[in-house]
Amino acid sequence: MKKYIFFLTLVLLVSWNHSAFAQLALEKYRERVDIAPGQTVKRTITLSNRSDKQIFLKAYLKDIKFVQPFDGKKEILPAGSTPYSISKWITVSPESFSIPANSKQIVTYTVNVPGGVKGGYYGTIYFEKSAGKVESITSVGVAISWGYTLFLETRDKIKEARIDGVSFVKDAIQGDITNTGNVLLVSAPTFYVMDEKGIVLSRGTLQNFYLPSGEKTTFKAEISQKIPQGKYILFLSFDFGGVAPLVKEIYFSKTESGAIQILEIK
Amino acid sequence: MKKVFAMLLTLVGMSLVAYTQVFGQSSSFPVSASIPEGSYGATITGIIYKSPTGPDDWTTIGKVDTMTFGELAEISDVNGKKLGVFAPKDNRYYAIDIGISGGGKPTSFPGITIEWYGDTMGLGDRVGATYKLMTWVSATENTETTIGTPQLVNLPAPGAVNSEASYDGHWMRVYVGIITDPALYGFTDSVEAAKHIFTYTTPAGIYSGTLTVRIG
Repeated sequence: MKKYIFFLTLVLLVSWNHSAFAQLALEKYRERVDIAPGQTVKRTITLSNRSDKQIFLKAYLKDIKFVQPFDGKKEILPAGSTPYSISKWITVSPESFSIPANSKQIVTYTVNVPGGVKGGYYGTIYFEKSAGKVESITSVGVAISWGYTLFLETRDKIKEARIDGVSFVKDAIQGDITNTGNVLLVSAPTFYVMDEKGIVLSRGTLQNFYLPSGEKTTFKAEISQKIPQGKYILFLSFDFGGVAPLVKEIYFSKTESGAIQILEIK
Repeated sequence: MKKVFAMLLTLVGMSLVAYTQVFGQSSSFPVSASIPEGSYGATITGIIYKSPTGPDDWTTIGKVDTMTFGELAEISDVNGKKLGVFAPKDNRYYAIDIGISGGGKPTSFPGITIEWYGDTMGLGDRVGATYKLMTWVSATENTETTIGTPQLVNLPAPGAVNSEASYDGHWMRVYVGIITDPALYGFTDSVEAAKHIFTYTTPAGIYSGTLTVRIG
C-alpha cells in the first residue's frame, strides 16, 4: 500500500520555466478610494494579457473578511454577505470579455455610494479565467481568478487605535493594538530603540496587519540582545495612511544581567 | 646647480598640477538598473509517478488546463495483490504552481487561496491536496517545504497563503491527486475512510469538479 501513498514519499523537482506563471497582470491588486455618501465614483483597471494566447475572462464580486491572526489572512465570501459589503454599489463593465495575446483591456468600475454611510466598506472584483473543459471522465477543471480589492472609506471616517497590555517577554516588548475606529486598519509598523544620548541602537519592522474595526491583535518588537545595560526608549510607529501615525514611546532599562524593565509608557 | 635643481623642481611641480587637473578630478558616474513589476499567475503541470523504481522516478505530461484522471483502475501492492482501491491507471497527479513572472515582486502581495466547487458525485471528497512553499536553489532547481498537511480540497482554503511574510522569496505548489490512503487525511475509521476513496462500493459514473485558484 505504501507504494501508492499519495505524495507521502514524493520529493519531486519538476522541471521549471520562469515564464510558466505568465498570464494576466493587474496593474495593482488593491486600491483605497475615498468616498462621500451619495457620490458616484468611476475608476478603471488595466488588465494585461502577457501570454501568447487569448484569455477569456468573467468579472464578478466577492466579499472579504480579514480574520485572525490579522496578518492578511482573509475569508472570501459570497457578495453581499457582510455588513460592510460594496457589492450592491458596484457595477463592472465589461463583465465578460476576451483579451488577445500580449494585449491590454481596460475595465471600468462604477461605485454608487448610498447616502448616510460612514466608515469602511470592502469587496473584491475577481477576473476569472474559466476552467478548462471538464472531460467526460474523472477530471477536475481549474479556474484561475485575479482579485482587485477595493477599500472604500468615507471622508469622515474614524481611523484610530488603542495600544495596551505592553509587557516584556523574552527579548521582545509586546502589546495589544485594538482598532477603535470604523475602518480597516492596514499597517506595516516600524520601531527603533534610542539611548539617552539620542543614538539609535536598533530598528526593525513589526508584522504587517489588517485589523478590522473592533478587533485586537498582538504586536511584538524584538529587542537586540547586543544592547548594553542602560536606559532606552522604544519608539513604535503605526502608520495607517491618511492620518498621523500612532506613535508610542516605551521607556525601559536593561540591567547587567540582561533583564529588561519597562519604566514608562507615553 | 641650484638653477638646474630649481628648474627640475618647477617642472615636477607643474607636471603634478597638470596631472591633478587632468586625472585627479573626482567624477560621478550614475549607475542604474530597473526591473519591471511582475505579476502573479498559475500553471498546472501533469505528472506521472513511476513508483517502482523510487520516488524521483517520474515524467511530466506537460502544461494542462484540466486535471484529467481518466478511467480509474484497481491498484495492487508490491506483490501484485489487488487492494480494492481505484486510482489513475498511470499513477498521475498534478502540480499547480503559483508565483510571479514577467518582472520583480509586485508592491503588494495579493494572497493566494484555493477553493473547490462544482462537485459531482462526491469527487471533492476523494481528491487530496498537499501544499508546499517552493524555494529557488538555482535557476533550474528548487527545494520544497510543506506548509500544510494533506487536506481535502473541498474544505475552505486549506493551505492558503495570505501572509506576505510567509510567502516572500517563494512560490507555492499544490499537488493534487486522487486519494488512495485516507489515513493520510486523518480518516482512520474504516467506514469514514471508505467515503474518501474509490472502491467497489463507490457508485459508478463520471466524477468531476472545479478548483479555483484565487490570486488576490
